[in-house]
Amino acid sequence: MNPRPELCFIVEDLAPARASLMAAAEAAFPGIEVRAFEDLAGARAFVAAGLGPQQPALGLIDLGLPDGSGVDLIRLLAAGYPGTMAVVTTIFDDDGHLFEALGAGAQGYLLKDVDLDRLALYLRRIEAGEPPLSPSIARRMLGHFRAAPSAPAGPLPVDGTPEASLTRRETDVLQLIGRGLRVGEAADVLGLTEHTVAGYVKTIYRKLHVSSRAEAALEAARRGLV
Amino acid sequence: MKSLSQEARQGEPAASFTETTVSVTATVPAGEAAAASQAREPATLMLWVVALCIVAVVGTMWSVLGQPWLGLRFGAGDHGRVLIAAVEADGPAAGLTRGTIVIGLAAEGRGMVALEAQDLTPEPDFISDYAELDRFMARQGALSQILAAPRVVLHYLDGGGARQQLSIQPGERPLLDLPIDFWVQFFTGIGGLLISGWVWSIRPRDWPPRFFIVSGVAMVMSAHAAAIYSSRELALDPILFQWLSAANFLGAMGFGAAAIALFLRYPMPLVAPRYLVWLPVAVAISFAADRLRLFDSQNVARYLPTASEMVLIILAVGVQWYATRRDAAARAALNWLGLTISVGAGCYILIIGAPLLVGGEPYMSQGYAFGFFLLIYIGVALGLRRYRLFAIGEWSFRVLFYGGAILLMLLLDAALLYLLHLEPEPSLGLALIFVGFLYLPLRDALWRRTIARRRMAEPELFRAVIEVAFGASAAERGQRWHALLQRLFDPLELAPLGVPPRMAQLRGDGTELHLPPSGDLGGLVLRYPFGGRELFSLQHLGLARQLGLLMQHAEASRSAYERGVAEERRRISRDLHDDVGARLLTGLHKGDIADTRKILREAIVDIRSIAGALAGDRLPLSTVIADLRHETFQRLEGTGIALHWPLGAEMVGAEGAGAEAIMVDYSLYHHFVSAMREIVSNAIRHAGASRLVVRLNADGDLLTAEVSDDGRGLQGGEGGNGLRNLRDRIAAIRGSIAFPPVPQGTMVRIAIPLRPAAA
Repeated sequence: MNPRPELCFIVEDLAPARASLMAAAEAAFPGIEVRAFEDLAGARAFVAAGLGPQQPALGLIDLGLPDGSGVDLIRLLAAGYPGTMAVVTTIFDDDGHLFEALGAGAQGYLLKDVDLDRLALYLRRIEAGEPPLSPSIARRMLGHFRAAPSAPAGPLPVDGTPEASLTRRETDVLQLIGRGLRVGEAADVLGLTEHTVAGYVKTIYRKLHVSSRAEAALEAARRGLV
Repeated sequence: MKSLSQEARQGEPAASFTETTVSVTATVPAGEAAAASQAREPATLMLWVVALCIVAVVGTMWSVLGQPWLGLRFGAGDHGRVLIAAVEADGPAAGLTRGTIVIGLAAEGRGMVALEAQDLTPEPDFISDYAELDRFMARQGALSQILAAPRVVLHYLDGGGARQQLSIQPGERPLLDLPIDFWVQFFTGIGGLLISGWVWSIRPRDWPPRFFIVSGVAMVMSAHAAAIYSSRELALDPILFQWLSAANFLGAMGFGAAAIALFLRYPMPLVAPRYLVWLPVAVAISFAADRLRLFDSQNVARYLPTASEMVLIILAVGVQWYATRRDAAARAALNWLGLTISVGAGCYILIIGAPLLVGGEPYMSQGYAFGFFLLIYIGVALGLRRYRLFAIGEWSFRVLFYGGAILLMLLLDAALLYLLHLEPEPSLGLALIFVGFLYLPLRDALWRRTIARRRMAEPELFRAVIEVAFGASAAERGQRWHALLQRLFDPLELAPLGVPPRMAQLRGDGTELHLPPSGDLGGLVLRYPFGGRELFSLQHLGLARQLGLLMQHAEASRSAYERGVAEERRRISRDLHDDVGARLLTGLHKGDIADTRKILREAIVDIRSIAGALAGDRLPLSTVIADLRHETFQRLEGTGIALHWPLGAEMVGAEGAGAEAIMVDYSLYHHFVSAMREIVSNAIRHAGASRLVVRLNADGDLLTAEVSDDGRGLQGGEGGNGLRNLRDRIAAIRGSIAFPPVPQGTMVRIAIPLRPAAA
């Protein structure tokens, strides 16, 4: 697992939300260094100048920013900064808003409409490798992997098929969560520990990213961009 | 559209359009209206023109071939003597030799009438003095009487200068004996009538073609009259001669007057039609002046009016030239028409009339000079296409072919009948074979070569129709619709239709296609398809009707789509207003900041569900329950209330069972989820509970939910407003709500029917 983050940067255009996110980060990780930006340009400048690729960091990134979409920043971080854990901050946890960001490499999401204590709680869970997963996102993921089970098959040498497709267990987990079960309940149904199921969820996130990237590469090849 | 503006410049389409509208909107019975429009169809009018041609041909031939015939051609010799210029070898006077000097003629047993050179004059107009004219006519009378006798005695001088006599039995004049100048005049008359009549048949309601056909009728009158008397062998009955001479003069005057009228109205209307009535009045006065011999010289009486008309024609052309200075297309049409008429008629006047007026001799045989007039009509026919003279499209050539084929068939039949002396039936058969196997296929082949037919493949057509129907605005749809019709039929005119038909219809002998309105696109009339080169056929009508059906379907789907969009918009606005709006308003009036926060969070949840419902209006019940369960757990997290929501068998079991298979529509799940949220909110806010139990059960027809907490329980008045909301929501989906008594806390039980009420 990632080492405990020593730096947290927040990209959020609404000042009150920015303040409460800063407070939540400080509450979740006492003593952490917190930086906040109100637009993509500021965040990009910071990432380019002050962030080391392997530096353990936490990025809380809003999607709708005045100068673009946070998805672009998430993609940048996922590609070049493996030390950084990118987390989407959002008001809604429905699939429409989040799925693209998760595919781009976000390792979790944070609902902004909850109070400070719960913000901190969720943050710690994500950091501990237990990203949240709503039923609607779980269903959307199932649909994604079902629709593109053989995305890597083809001219592109993708690093091993298992990287981009789900195991039987992972599919089971997604199905149960998609039906409204919580992680603990899914673990009971499958006869696994809660910790194992949470690990599956984390793997699923990563595979979604890999699969999305492969899909994008395939799409680019198909259009003659590479 | 360009064709319309072009149309407005040439001819008088404005007048014809209003006439069309009047004839359609006037309250005449449908049958009469149809009959009236039938009478205006070009092909029908063309048949009348052809009939007039036949009358002219038959009348002329009957007059010429009915005369007694000697088989001699007389010529003027020295000293005013008459000699034989040619002898028909098979004719009645075959024994005579060429160059023989003829003294005179006599009926057998009667006194001889000596021949004079002036008897041979082809055109009595050339005789200037009226007394001399009378004498000429009297001699024609005497000679024609002699020729009408059973045997005619010819007095002549033989090679030695001795006087001889030959008795001849006049025969029938064969067709081939007619001289070339006869045929020039004959075809000038027929050609002029056919071409002008054809132009008129296409645009019978416009003034310029009317003047044009008047000129053609005048021309056939003048030319055929001259053809009859100038090709006489020696003499005609003086009564017939006088009539023919008068007809020739009247025709010439009429032609000039029609040309003046034409240039007073075309290309630019310079004078209102009612003033043109002075032209026939002037013609009548000139005609009367000639008949009453008001002038001293016949040359003046006959050639002064025609020369004056010529001057007026040139003047009118000059004025038109000025009037068309800003209109290049009209100027081009004028140049062509003015040039052909001025040059054609002008050459005739200069060669025949001018020398006579100044007391000289014509420079050319009048018969040949008539050829100039044929050039006028041929020139007009050639210019029709290039300069769009009289606003006539190329398509109208088909009408000319049609009229020409009929006329040719009849002429051929008459010629075969005459020359081969065949029985009527086989002759008609030969003519039919010629027209059917040679002329018509040749014409059709030519036609097909000149028309590049463009067809649109069906998928392309379908896509084009969809593009029309799904245009963003009515104006855009109209524009695309016009463009599609232009592409399919390429009509010269595309105009809105006042009283459109219910179905696409062909009108005007296939020159017009009337289209019914479709959706917000009005009815249209398409005139002269394929750039005016072709007529609308039944195939095109079928295509238009298919197009109409496609448009109907596309319009229906578009309006369904628009209804759906509007419905969705109404739903969003209603839900925003009822749910989010009401909640925010409540929050506004709360004093406690913590309460306000909670209310704001609930408003956010509402927005989420409103936006979430955009994806689809029907969802599996299992999905609805899964999301609600997840959301409820999230909401209770950190509140100190433990949620106990046992999984029903349907939630864990195999896919396709229970709630998985039940689909619920938007209004049901929206109200159900909102009600459940309200219940949970109440528990969080007011109950002071530590535990919440939710039990859901869905059997085929009924969804029941039981929510119980271990809090304070319902207290009178508490949450009254929220409770009423709850009842309203449940009532909206025909459900029931109950609060069964429990030992501790509160229990809410709701039951919602899953099947819609039988309507």
